[in-house]
Amino acid sequence: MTRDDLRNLMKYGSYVLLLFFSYILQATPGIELFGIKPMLVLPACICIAFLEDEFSAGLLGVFAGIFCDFSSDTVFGFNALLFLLFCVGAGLAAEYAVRRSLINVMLFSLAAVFLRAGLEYVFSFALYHYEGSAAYFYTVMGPEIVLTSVFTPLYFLLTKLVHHRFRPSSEREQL
Amino acid sequence: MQKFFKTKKFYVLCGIAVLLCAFMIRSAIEGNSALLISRLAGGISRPFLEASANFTDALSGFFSKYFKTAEVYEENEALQEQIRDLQEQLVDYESVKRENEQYKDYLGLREENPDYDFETASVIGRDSTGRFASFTIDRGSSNGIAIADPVITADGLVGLVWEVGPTWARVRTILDSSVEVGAYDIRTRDSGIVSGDILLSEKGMCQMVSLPRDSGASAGDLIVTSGIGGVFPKNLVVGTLSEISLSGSGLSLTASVTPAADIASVTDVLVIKSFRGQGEENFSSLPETSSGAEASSGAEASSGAEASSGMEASSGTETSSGAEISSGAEASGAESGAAP
Repeated sequence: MTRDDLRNLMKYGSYVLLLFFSYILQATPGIELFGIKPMLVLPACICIAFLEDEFSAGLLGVFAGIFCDFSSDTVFGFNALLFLLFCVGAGLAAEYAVRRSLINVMLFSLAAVFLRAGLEYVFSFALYHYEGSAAYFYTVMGPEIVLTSVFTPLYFLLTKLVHHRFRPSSEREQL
Repeated sequence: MQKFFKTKKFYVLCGIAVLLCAFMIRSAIEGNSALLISRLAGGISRPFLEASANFTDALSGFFSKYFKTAEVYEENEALQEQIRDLQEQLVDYESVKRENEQYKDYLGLREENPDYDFETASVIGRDSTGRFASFTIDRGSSNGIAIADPVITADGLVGLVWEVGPTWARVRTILDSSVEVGAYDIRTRDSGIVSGDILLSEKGMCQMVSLPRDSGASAGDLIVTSGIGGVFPKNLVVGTLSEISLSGSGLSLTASVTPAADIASVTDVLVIKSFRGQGEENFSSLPETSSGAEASSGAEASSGAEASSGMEASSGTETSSGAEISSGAEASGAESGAAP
């Protein structure tokens, strides 16, 4: 195993730990801000996708999504599939279309969280025509979306630190 | 970018996406706990969730002594006021008082219900994506817990188990609109269905529908389970009526119910693994209406008294535990634990 392989292993190990720790925080009873529980795993996945290649980001997205599926009320695979699509999309966008800046990662994170909440709303509430479900989306899911997006800069900083700390030799030599 | 869509990695990701779609289909048909990967995720995360929940409990317990003094004082004052009001209301209703006292603590509950087979459990997971205050507990099928087992606290009914793994189980609460509980007003003996309401759930409340239009039910009345349907035992405290109004159709009354148990922040619960009458429809347990008023809709109870609302689940699906699941509003008076 070369030094670069070891760095890669430690980098992805750190990402896995970060995602798992975020999931534990997300699912622990009593951890909330202003009575709202943010969804921490998705912004973490989007930040990783912005810094790494789309394939690795997709796999990490599936890993995180599977844990979210365990504690979510949706059918198993719903979060994993969405996280896979979001991470690959964000990875491709960062590679070919947009700069890897904080503002772009925040926009992508907000869009992903909004899309996930919107799809959950459609499949869990709207299809069943629950009375007052629209108000529920605005008053409960809306604040969750906003609060979740607030955590994106923190995750971007953390993932950038990990990415920089375990960068390969070729990039180190350039500096 | 087009180069990526021709690589092997792209095809691998497509394969994973197809696999996840297959998981979703199987999960929709058989439930999440049927999937090995779901049980695996539960098994890995359970010890960490448990440790994290214990840690936050200890931390919040330590700090709450210093930061919540004013809040606790106000809450204490409010509770004292509420106790005085309730005592005044209950002074003429000794039977209600006796019923209420029966459920004051776990030991009392055990002694009063020797037929109950309990399992104590702690709440270890409460996710932001778990709607209607649903949560995960640290006991599962290895402890004898099965789908549709009732979940309670010493204060009253919390909900029912809807998904079980070897060492964990997911609980849907009575705030969930897919959970329906046959219940009756202990003072007037009018029966109805307690179920969740999407807006009331945000206030930690649920609703009681299908109360007879001529019911004498009023705010403050105690609501208990009727035992019909065999999913929940009879006479479990559900909560108290808060606000009563005519339903949209004008044929019956709808009331908001404040659950007796603090569902949104409950940390320890009891799961009733078995009880006398479990899985039986048990229509004879329907309370007699005190006024003897005609039923607004529904069949006659076997005791001969007119039921205040329908009793039979008109169409049902068997759950794995054998409990009958009703289909929405048709199942007036009977209980269910249906998942959409």
